[in-house]
Amino acid sequence: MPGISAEGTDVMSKLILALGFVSTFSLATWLQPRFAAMHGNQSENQSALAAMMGDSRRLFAQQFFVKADAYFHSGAYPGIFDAKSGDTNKAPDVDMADAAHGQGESDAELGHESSYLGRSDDWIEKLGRNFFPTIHTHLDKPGQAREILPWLKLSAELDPQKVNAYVTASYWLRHDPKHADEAEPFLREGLRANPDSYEILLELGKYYGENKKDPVRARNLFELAWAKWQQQKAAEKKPDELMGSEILGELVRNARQSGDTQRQLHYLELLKPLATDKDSVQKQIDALNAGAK
Amino acid sequence: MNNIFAIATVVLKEMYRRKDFYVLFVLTALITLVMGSVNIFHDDKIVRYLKEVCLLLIWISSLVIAITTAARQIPAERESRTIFPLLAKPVSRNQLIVGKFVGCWIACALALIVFYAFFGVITGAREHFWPIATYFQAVFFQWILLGIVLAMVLLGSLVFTAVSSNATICFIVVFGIMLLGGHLHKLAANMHGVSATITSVIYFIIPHLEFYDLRDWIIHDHGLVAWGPWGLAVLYGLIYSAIFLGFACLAFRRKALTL
Amino acid sequence: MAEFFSTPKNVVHVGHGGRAKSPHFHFHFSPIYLYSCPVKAVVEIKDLRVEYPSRELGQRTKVAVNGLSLQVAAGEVFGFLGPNGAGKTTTMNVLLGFVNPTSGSASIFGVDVQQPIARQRIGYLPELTYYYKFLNAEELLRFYAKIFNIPEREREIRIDEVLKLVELDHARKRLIKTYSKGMQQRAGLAQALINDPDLLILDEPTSGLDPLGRMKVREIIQRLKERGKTVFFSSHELGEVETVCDRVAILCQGELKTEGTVAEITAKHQMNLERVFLKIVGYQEE
Ligand SMILES: Nc1ncnc2c1ncn2[C@@H]1O[C@H](COP(=O)(O)OP(=O)(O)O)[C@@H](O)[C@H]1O
Ligand SMILES: [Mg+2]
Repeated sequence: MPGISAEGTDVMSKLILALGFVSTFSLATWLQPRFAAMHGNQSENQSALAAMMGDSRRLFAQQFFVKADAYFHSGAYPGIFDAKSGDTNKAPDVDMADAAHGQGESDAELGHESSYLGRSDDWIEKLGRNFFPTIHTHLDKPGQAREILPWLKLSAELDPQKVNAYVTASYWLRHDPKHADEAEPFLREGLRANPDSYEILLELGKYYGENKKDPVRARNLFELAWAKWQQQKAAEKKPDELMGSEILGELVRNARQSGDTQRQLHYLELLKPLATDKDSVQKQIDALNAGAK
Repeated sequence: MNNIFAIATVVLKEMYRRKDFYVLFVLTALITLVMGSVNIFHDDKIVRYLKEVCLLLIWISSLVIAITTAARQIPAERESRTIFPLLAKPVSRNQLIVGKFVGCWIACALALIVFYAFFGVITGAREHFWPIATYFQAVFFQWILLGIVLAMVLLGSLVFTAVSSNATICFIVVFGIMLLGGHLHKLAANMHGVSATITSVIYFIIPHLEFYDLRDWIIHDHGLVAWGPWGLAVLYGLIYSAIFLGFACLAFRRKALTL
Repeated sequence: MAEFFSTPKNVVHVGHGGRAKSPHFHFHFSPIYLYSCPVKAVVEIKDLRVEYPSRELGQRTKVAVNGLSLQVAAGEVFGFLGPNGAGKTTTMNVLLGFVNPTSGSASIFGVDVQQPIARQRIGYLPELTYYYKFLNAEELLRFYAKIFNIPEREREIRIDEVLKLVELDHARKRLIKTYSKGMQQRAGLAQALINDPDLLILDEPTSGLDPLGRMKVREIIQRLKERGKTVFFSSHELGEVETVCDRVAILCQGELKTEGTVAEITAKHQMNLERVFLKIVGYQEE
């Protein structure tokens, strides 16, 4: 039969085609890195995928990383139009990663209506707020953090250069006794893609130090991380100062554990210019010097 | 009433004799199952991302079903000329519009029930948790949203001549409202002069479809939505559906039916 | 086919023997006032003018029907003749309320055509209709019967009768999209008869049918006439018009050229109907 019904079917088939395309596409993004890993020639395959997706791959990776952060906040999460979202790209990285470093938002904020919302201006907004999560919670009950892992993994697979994804995932994996051992292969994978990443080396060091109780390997990794950090500093790549101080902090702790005062002092001296709280570093140095005498 | 249900029945018959719904359902189920079988750090309890994927597919599929079904109703009647023998019988044009709407809306309800049953089984198998009341709130909300969309599309099918352009425009409008609808007043606050006024007028005129999206709510187990606001939003949606239907009837009333 | 139309028994089936014999049938849906003032003219068209927005550039409107006045009396078979594009379909569209007249008026059973109730007692067969292809004949008729509010028991009986009449009984469970063109046309005729109408408006009922199909349609019209129904049908097939029509009107370019019984017209013009028709549409004989 001619005519509209044919046209109607036409629209339908187009839409199904589009849907099918989207789904095959997402499937491909899932499967492709797996095959790549299977065949071992990652670089070649990845360039094929990269060619297909181009730079949008990075965008997706960032999107999934943000998704992970939203999950971390149980869905109560500022959108791009919310007041506190001026720096959309940075905010989530910092937030979830902060939690990963044990220094998230103050607990006082938790359990209340999220502060990013501000006051509602009209009845539409007021009504609408009943229908999306606004209670600020963190996914930190035992075992809950696993829910964010798929997004981090996806993010890392789409953009292997996304160091944050490896590090954050590893943090959550390491803190879940059932998954601690998964952290290492994932970090190694990240390291293969980012051989110069001091962040990943630091995280790997923590894995050996804290989870594996292997201070020697941990120390090697921390030292390597510090070397990479310094390399980048020398190459004027402006490495993250906070990270630098964290690496040194770990080295200090590692030295303290093995009772090596000399090494401890060495790293404390290095730490001093980077640290935010220079006085306390100085005090530690003084205390050590006093102890040595 | 009798006429409206007779017309609605024909829409339903068409719906279940076409393959569209089955294709979309199988696609949704298949993708969800594939995603569910993907190994993530050897953890088989991870459920939220699965919910996310499944709900996204359900949303897209149900919108595709609603928009394409509604968009072709009146144009197909005109193109195949069945509208002539139909309107030559004691049926008013308003009854035809309302009958088509009711038919599409019931079809959407059936589709949603099937989709969410699948969702409940898949997620329940993982987390052993069935918040039935919350699911009801979510499904009903989505149904109300589809009602608004259907009425909008029916109106569009009387205004735009080509089915495909109407469907495309409606898709864009629906996605636009879902993404931006709730933020227009903030955009307006950053504008000046006429454009600010226009933006805030749009903000107050459009049906706020984003109300009805309880996906994050379900994914992150936030419990029940307060029934008071929930009921208000349902009422709000019904009013908008009625308004769009009213406009559709008006547009259809004086239209000369020739090819 | 022949057996249907030769046995009077079947004729009775067509429509419960007409209004007088089955008052219960009309009882359910016909408002009293339709009967309370007996009208002689079933169809009445006065000074009808219909303009379409023109499809060609430059011209603002296209006049499809111009100053048409017609009356169709109860119980007669009225042939509405004219070449393609004469305005026949347009006139019928006005009668059924699909198109609003630019000026003039039209009424059916004395009720203005804008009222839906005017269509309760009409059966209409449009030209070239593709019925819902996802339904079968039975479901199609059931749907239309529901629209007429025919009670359920009555409904199934009517469906059986009408399907037998148009000889689609064997294919009643088949989807309409599998029908041949002739079968589709017969399904159309079936739906036009489902409410046992008093007035049938048929738009080129025989177009696209083979000779056998044409004969059948002609016979159905004949039977309906015998049962006191009014039939208003358009055609450009002169042969069939001559055999079944009480009166004819010839329309050309939207204007009524001549009207009357076949005998009157042939007497007036001193030539047979075909010649008259050809002369009116402007065909010059050598
Ligand atoms: N929708 C329309 N828009 C413009 N012109 C039309 C339309 N429908 C019919 N016409 C014109 O009106 C005239 C009468 O058409 P119609 O009533 O269909 O003729 P008939 O049925 O006698 O063949 C034709 O010239 C036709 O081109
Ligand atoms: Mg015609």
